[in-house]
Order: sequence, then C-alpha cells, then structure tokens
Amino acid sequence: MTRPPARLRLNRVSRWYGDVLALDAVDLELGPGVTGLLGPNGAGKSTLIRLVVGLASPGAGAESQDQVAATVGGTPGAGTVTLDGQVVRNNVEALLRIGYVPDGDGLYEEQTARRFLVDQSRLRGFAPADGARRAEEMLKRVGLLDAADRKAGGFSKGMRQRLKLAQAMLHDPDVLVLDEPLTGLDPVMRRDYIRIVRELGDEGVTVLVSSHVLHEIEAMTDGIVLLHHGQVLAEGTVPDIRDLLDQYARRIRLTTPAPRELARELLQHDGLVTALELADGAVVVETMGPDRMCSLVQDLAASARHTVTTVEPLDEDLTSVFAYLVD
Amino acid sequence: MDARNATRTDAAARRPAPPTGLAASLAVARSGAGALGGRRRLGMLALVGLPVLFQVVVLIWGGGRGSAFANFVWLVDKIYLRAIAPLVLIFVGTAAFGDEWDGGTAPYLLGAPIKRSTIVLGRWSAAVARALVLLLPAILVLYVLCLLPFEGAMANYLGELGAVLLATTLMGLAYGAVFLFLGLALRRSVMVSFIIALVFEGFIGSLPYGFGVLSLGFHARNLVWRLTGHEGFHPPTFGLDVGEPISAAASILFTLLAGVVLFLLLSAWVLRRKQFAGGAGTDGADS
Repeated sequence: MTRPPARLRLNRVSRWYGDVLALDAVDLELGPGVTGLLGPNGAGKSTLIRLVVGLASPGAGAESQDQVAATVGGTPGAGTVTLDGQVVRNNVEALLRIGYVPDGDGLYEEQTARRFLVDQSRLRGFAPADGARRAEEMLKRVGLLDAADRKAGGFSKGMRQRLKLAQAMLHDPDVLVLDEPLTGLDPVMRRDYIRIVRELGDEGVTVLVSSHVLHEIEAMTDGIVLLHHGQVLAEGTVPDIRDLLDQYARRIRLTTPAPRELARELLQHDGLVTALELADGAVVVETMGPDRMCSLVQDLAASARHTVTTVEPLDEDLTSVFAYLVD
Repeated sequence: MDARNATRTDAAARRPAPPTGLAASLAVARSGAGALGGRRRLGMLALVGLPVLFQVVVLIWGGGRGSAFANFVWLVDKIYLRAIAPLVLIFVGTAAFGDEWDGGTAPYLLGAPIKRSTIVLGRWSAAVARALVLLLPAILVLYVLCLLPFEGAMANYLGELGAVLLATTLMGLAYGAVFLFLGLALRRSVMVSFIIALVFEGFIGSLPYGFGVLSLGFHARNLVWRLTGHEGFHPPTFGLDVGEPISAAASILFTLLAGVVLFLLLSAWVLRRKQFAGGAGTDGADS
C-alpha cells in the first residue's frame, strides 16, 4: 500500500472551554516540511495541536449550541480536522500516520526507556521482534542508547523530551506534531533536536512544531503560523513576519559602563533613535532602523570611543511581536 | 519533491497495519503495566496477604485451634469477598485510566491507532488480571493453611474451593468493569467507588433477599452457595421467612456477565467521547 505525502487540513475549527473561546474558526492547511506554530502562552497552540492529533473534538466544550453557531458564522458544528480528507478523531487509519510529542513531562516513571518504546511500538502494530529493533533504532537516533535501560523517572527534562520524540517517530509517521519540544533542552541537545526535526522535514514528513520563542522556530523552519487569542494572526515565512515587524520600532538594550555618554553619541544621529531610556549600566533605545543601529554600535566599539559589552534585542520574544502586530 | 514523495511512500509501505483484536488488546494491556510503582504493588500485596498472615499466626500459636474449613469459609466470605476483593478492584480498576490522566501519559494510549472499545477491553483485562493474580493465590494458600492440621481434609473440599475461586474470578470481572467505568467517567472516582463498595457490599449486600440483588458480592457469594450448598455462604435472612434466595447458578452467572458487558460498553462510550483538550488552566482530560 502506498500513500502520497500527508496534507493536514483544519477547516473553520473552533474549540470552547465553557465561555472561553480557545480557537476561533481556524483555517489552516499544512503539507510536507516543517511548519512552526507560534504564539504566546494561552494563544491556543496546545488546543489546536490536540485537535490535530485527535485527542479532542472541534466544537466540544461549548456551554451552548448558540456559542458554536456564533463562532462559525451560523453553520452548525464547529469545523473539521482532516488528514488527506479523512477525519482524524477516532480514526485508526489516520492515527497510524500521526506521531505526537505532547507538552508536559508525562512518561511512565517506572518504565525503562526501552520498555516504553517497545510497548509503544506494539500499540502501533509492530511484531515483538520488529518493535524491539525499531525501539533500538530510535534510541540511537535521539542519543538515548546509553540510558535505554534506565527508568524514565530518573531522566532529566532534556532526556524526557528526546524519549518523547523517539516514541513519536517509532512508526515513521507521515505527520509529526511537536508541542513545545525544546523546553528544557540544553544547547547541545537543542541543536541535535533541531537537526532531527529539519531532517524529518526534508524527508517529506509534515511536521507541525509549536513554540512561543521565535528563534527556536526560526532554527527549524522558515514557514510559520502565528496564533493569537485562538485566531491565525499571520501565516508565511520568517522574513514575511520580520517585514511586518519592520513597520514598528524595535527596542535594543546596550550595556555600557558609561550610559550617558553613549546616549549622547546616539542622539547625534538624526532619525536613528525614536526613544531612549537610561538604565543602570545600560541604554535602552527604540529605533526604526535596527540594522543601522547595530552597525553604528559596532563602529563605536571598534573606534574605542565607547565600550559596549552587550547588545540585546528586547523584541525577540513573541509577546512583544504579538503586541506589535495586535496593536 | 519527487524524492520526498518516494521517501514517504516507502515509509507508508514499511509501516505495519494498525493492531486489531487480541493483538491490540494485549498491546494495550501491556502498555503502562510496568509503570505501577513498587510501593503500590507492595500495598496491594499487604492487603491481600493480611488474612493469610493472620492464619499463619493462628496455625503457629493456636496449635490448630481456629483452623478448619469453617474458618476458611468465614475468611473468604467476610473478608475477601466483602472487603479485600472490592478494595483491590477499586485500586486497579480506577487506576486503569486514572493514572494516565494524572501522569500525563494519556496521549500515548489514546493517540494509538486502536479502537477505543479495544483500549477499554485491554485495560479492563489487565486490571482484572492484576487483581486476580494476587487474590486467587492468596485464597488458595489460605485454604491450605486452614486445613493443614487435618490430615486428608484438603481433598474433601476441592469442589467448594473451585466454587470460591470461580466466584472470586467472576466478581473480579464484574467489579473490574464497574470501577474502570467510574475511573473513566468521574474525576473523584476512588472516593465514589469506596462509597459504592461500602453501601452496596457492606450494607445492601447484607440485607435479606431482594435487596441483595443490587450487590455484585451478593451474587458471587450466592453462586458459591448454589454450587456447593455450604451454609457459610447462605445469604442472611435475619430470622425472616423470605423464601428461597434468587435464581439458579446459571442466572447468577448471566447477571454477573451482563453487568460486565454493560459497564464495558458504557466505558467504551465514555472513552470515545473523552476530550483531552487541556487549556483554560487545566491540562488534563475533560469530558
């Protein structure tokens, strides 16, 4: 049996929690490659992901049918989540093609990593010998072979994240859904994890990865979906989003032993600084030309007229991004 | 893109078919089975082994007094079937899914390409097996200890022993289904299960005929009485003339098995509708 690469489609999907609307008529279509799902905490990322993997139903959770109808423009129901045209929830065929790394730390604490993966392989239809072999391959791929026979209860956060990724990849899924997968990983693990995700995307797997940190997603993919208050705020590539950001002033913190002198120097450059704030041992500037500002700071540092120890963009976190886009 | 297509097509071809039937049930039963902590296993073992320990003490220090088949009947009827078996089954039945919600592992089970009804069946059989693997050997050992002082007596009551083991098994199947359903349907399932066990087994099951039909334990004990005729398992009459207790062994069997089927179907229905959506300040399952 052969199948084409997976296309995942969310068609006007809504989800309520009582009177709180977590997802509001979301339309989304995802194909092969990595797509980043970005949004601040509470944006609805995990809710969307659980709908994608069939753990929840679109439209459920509403206190009344009126709420549902209002959400989807009067259309009964509250959208569908389909994989190549098949509804995902309670659909064995669709679930077989999906791998999922949940958020949170949940693992069977008393089980070894190997036992966990072997059990998971059996749940996906592998024969015992094949399951054991596949578990071994996955342990190797995520770098957990040395810890294979240790109980998950003794694992660090990073090891847990890798074990969760291993179980999601066991059956070589067409769709891989990762919910905040880089949380708790040290830089080396993070680099390896990102490499694996990129490889999967290159292999044609449809990967959806959520995060609230822009640079994490940027390291994995160019394609992103911005989610805010349960709605898709923007969809496109990282440069597209950056173009959006360039319409707004950016804040940069410059750490220096002489903030007043540096501030005086910066203000001499017409139009570069739109606002300036002195802090203890630092200058926080707001500028419409972040690239020009960075060049200037480099020049100043090189000329030895000023000492600038760190240059820290204050707008990289998504809360700031969303504040810009929403305001 | 062609290379990508080829890679995914190969992957699809290599992927095994979704497990079904017995293989799927066994996979579900096995999953998470090794996760039961040592302390909890020890707690269950202590609970089930307490009457056995008591009988060992009686045997050593009692010099044979208090060791008789009547003792075995009393311990099985009053302690195992009325108290310990329901408690153990509350423990394993509600934990069959409750532990998954509490531990955040539910996505691994519910995300598997297996029908929800098969998941219920697998987890129920695992829970019942986990209870019976403790209860049945304990009852067997108790039988031996009670009859040890009497030469040749062990062979005399094998029929009764068989009936007790059968009744315990049936009770395990039925209570396993009830408590698994409660574990799925309710947030505070352990508390509710305790109340149900207390009210139905401790009180209603001990009332004269008529009321007892609402107790699974009553049916189990009644079955032993029907099969063996041993008075120790005779339902209480409180001196009232209430006629014959209900039904023949076959209809008791039917009642218990019908209860199993009913609660398993209800459990599958609940699990199929279960929402594991988190959000809004919660990260667990909501119905």
